[in-house]
Amino acid sequence: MAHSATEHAHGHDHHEHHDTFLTKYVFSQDHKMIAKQFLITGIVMAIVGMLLSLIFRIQLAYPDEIFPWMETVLGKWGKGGKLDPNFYLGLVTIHGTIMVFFVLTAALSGTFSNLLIPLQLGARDMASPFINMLSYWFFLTSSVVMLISLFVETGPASGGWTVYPPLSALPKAMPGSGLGMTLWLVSMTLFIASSLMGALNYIATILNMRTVGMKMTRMPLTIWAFFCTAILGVLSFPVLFAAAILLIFDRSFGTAFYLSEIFIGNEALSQTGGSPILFQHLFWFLGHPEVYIILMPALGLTSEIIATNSRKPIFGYRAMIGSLLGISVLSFIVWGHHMFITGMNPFLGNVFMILTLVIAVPSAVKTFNYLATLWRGNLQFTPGMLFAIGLVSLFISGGLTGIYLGNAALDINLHDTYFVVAHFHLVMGSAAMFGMFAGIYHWYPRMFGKMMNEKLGYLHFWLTFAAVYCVFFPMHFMGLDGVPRRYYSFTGFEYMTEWVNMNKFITLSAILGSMAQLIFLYNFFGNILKGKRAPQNPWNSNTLEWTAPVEHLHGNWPGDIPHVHRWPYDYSRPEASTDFIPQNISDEGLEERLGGSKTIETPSHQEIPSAKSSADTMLFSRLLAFLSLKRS
Amino acid sequence: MPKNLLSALRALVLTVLLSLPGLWNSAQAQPDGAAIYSANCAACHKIDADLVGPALKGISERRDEAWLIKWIKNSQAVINSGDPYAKDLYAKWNNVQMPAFDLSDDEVKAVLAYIKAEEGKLAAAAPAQAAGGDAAAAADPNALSATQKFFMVVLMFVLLFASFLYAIKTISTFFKTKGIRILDWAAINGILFFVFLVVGLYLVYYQFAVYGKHTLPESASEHGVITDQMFMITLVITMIVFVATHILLFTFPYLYRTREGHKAYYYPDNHNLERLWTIVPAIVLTALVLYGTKVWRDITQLHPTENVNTIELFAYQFGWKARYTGADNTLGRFDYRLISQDNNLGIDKNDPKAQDDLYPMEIVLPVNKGVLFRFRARDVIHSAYMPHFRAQMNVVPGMPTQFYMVPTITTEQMRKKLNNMDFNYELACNKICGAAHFNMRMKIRVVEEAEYQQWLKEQKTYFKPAENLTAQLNVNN
Repeated sequence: MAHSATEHAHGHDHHEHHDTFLTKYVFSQDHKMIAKQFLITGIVMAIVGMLLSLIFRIQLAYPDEIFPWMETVLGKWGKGGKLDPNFYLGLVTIHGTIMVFFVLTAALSGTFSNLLIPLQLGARDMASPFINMLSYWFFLTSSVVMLISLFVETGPASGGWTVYPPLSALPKAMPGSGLGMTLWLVSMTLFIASSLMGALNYIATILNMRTVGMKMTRMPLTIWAFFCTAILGVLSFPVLFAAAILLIFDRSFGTAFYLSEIFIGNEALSQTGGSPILFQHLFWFLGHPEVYIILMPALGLTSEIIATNSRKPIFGYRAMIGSLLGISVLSFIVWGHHMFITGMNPFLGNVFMILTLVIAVPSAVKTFNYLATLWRGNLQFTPGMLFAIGLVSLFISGGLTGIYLGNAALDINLHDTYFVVAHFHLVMGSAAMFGMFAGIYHWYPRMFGKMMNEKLGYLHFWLTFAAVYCVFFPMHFMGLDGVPRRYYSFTGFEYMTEWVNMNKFITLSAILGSMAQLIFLYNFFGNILKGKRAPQNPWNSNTLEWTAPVEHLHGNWPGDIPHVHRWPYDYSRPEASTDFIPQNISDEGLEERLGGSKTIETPSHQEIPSAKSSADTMLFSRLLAFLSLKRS
Repeated sequence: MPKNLLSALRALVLTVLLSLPGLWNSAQAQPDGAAIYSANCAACHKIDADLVGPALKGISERRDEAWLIKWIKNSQAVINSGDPYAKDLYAKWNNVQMPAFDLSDDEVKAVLAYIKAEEGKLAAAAPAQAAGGDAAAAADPNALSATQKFFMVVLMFVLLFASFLYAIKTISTFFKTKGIRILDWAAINGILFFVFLVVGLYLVYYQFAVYGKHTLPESASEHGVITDQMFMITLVITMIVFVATHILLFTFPYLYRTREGHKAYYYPDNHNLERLWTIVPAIVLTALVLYGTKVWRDITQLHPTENVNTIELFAYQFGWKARYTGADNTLGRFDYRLISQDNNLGIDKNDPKAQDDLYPMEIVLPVNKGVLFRFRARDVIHSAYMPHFRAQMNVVPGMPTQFYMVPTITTEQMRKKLNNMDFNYELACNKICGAAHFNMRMKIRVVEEAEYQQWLKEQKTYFKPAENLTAQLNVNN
């Protein structure tokens, strides 16, 4: 069933084979279908993650109330209408894991990298459709395992999404560190495999399968973002894999990588010489790039959407690429800022602090470039555009608090408080989620050939935007009052009790915000079948995906693949009569279109030699092609 | 030979004398059930409700005293002995094991007496409450539970919203049928952004004004004053950026919303502008970094070694223990393999330096004198968080950590400043460590030097004096 790119290139007519339901919708190797599979699985996981958060939010708002429905829904974990403290931690842990990995890593990257890389680059499919399919199936399996872990008798993994040992290594330390933790590790191992297969495929496709004229410096910023993300993933996920394997060894085979001098359950364990801090180093070596793995695709989508809907070129295209590359490199050497107060050498704290604050510079450049793009634009408020603007706002609000947390001396007092919760939910959680929404609204016509309802999209945006700020902004003040995160209730300490009313407000906002997502779900699922048929190029966009037919088609373009003659941001050129010039329009074609008016000069800064496929990348793609077991 | 005999005899006599019933107790104050309860039990148990462990109400009726003493001292041993009640209890509470406590029989009895007394208070309060509750119910038969109220509010919002939408839809369809488009969605969204900006900035101001007051009071430590100052500087810088960028971000949509015949301004690049907004943030951040690294180094790497109190803080699931050096200003050796039901901290009995180590139930610090906390964990990672002192350090098993600070405001002074006579400095756990993480705490009291010296005298040593002396004698031999 595999169709290689070359096969397509040779001709498209001969493979009018019959797709069965199974090969078309289930074991599909078509990148567009796989994108949809990632998206819908991700939406399901996001709903689960959101529901989990509502349960623990209700506990935080009403710590002394009895909720009989909790016993109905949660069984022994809601005995007598009270949420069990162990299960509270389980909810927090699985909420974090699902949102960070399953929704914002896999679903965001998986959906849009799969959809857009071949379509925007002018490729028939991914370098290896088979591995692409495997990537999805590993992801689905790992999702299922993670969900199953919610139902085991001892509860799901409960040590926080960072699963620091020894807590996660010792089943005696908490019930969730038993079978639940084992399943967490199994699920994450599968997840990492899925993520690697996806990322290798994206890199191979981007390096090797660009259409004629698609130089690296003519790629849309979406592709640049996916490219950097994939490289980060390939370099950092294996480290988490190693960390997980060592943890499995410590848990099951009596090794002492992370364990030393522990007395638990009335016995002194024999393990000595290990270091719990080693796990943190390994974890955050992935964990910090992971933040950018989540954020960069969202920033890429936003760049594209803001440029299109401002009817302006993205401001500072090369600076945008530069900042993506800068963030990518720096993200590998800042992980220690998660560990300032673990007791690691204070001198290292200084080094990590300097590097961390350096990363604020490319982030600032991106922000100002977005603002400059909006300036004197002709702004089209599609729902995608609204979410893109929302992302910029959240990115600023959450990013600025990073300057506090990256400062080791300030981090002493802010570490692990609600200030951190506010910070990362804004800059990484909500911002990336907004990027994902923006992407869904913008490319829904491309994915399903139907339009979503704009008005419902507006409503969804405004409610969600207001709710996000209502939920997370006040948390800064809680953090400044020294309220720690991951507390089951704030009734124990006198100085925290004054925040109970705030917690009620936050919970109420969270519930209303979640209900706004029902509008989205209705809009999304309702319009797959019933929606208005999408026009060829609904947003008058320049990129290649809008030149491919709306119908689902193996190989994307029925005839030849379009050639690329210009960068993707020729919007509102003063000398052109239309306010957009698609990438596949050559200057001669443009002349025809304009009725023989003057030729348009390509701006000189775009004249950069294309990155030719090197021998290495050719070898790499051959390897992938071999692995894809395609029939000739 | 005679010397040895003599010293052995002396030891024997002393041991017998000191272990005479009541003698040791009378030397110390009667064990304080309430204090022991709050230091050891309250993290996981409540009197009248289940928490991490079962409610303790009626515990003396459920089990006899001897069983309870055995259980509290070493629950695992009772489970292993095959006691069916213990096994059921263990299974019922998710196989979470209750730690072994190094309490004496008398101390356990004091705790049980305290629980009984609290029960009595609750029982006395209950009928009154029930009567009050009945009265309230009688007065308002339609009184709603919190859940119901809550869902009412949510439902109200939804209905309000739905009717609002319905109204908009009806109006716009009405005009549409007449061929008039009244809703210019570009304008609506542009205006909404502007409204969001104005309301949002007001709310940010409001939160600073109202919730800003609820944040931590002034720092009670020397270094905290400096970090607070740095926080304020960072706050001013970031708020300027926050407000300025948001004003641009939310007025642009209003100003540049699409209109008939409007065309965007083609403006792909301006290297000077980009240089400007690369270099300015870089300079500001460099200044912050230099300032930050200096403060961080001062806090973590430079502290005096003379005239410093050393205190060990020992973290376990789910509580803290403190150990003071005693007269020799040195903590005795420890080894995690020595931890047992009688030796919760795993201190080496044979180390002479350990003999005068004190084992208080709260942390008391003299004001304006440096204190070096040495942290040790028994089981998993904890974090010693003392927000009022702007102090925090992780407590890692197998890897001792430390934090130096100088408290500058006594508890009494702080109470007066805050006008809150119940105020206490707190030590909280701030690294997820298990079910009762949220209740893992210890009280800190900062006092004047004289009061501190007095308090020190009242504290008991880690090893009971009897063993202490015997050990001392053995060492002398």
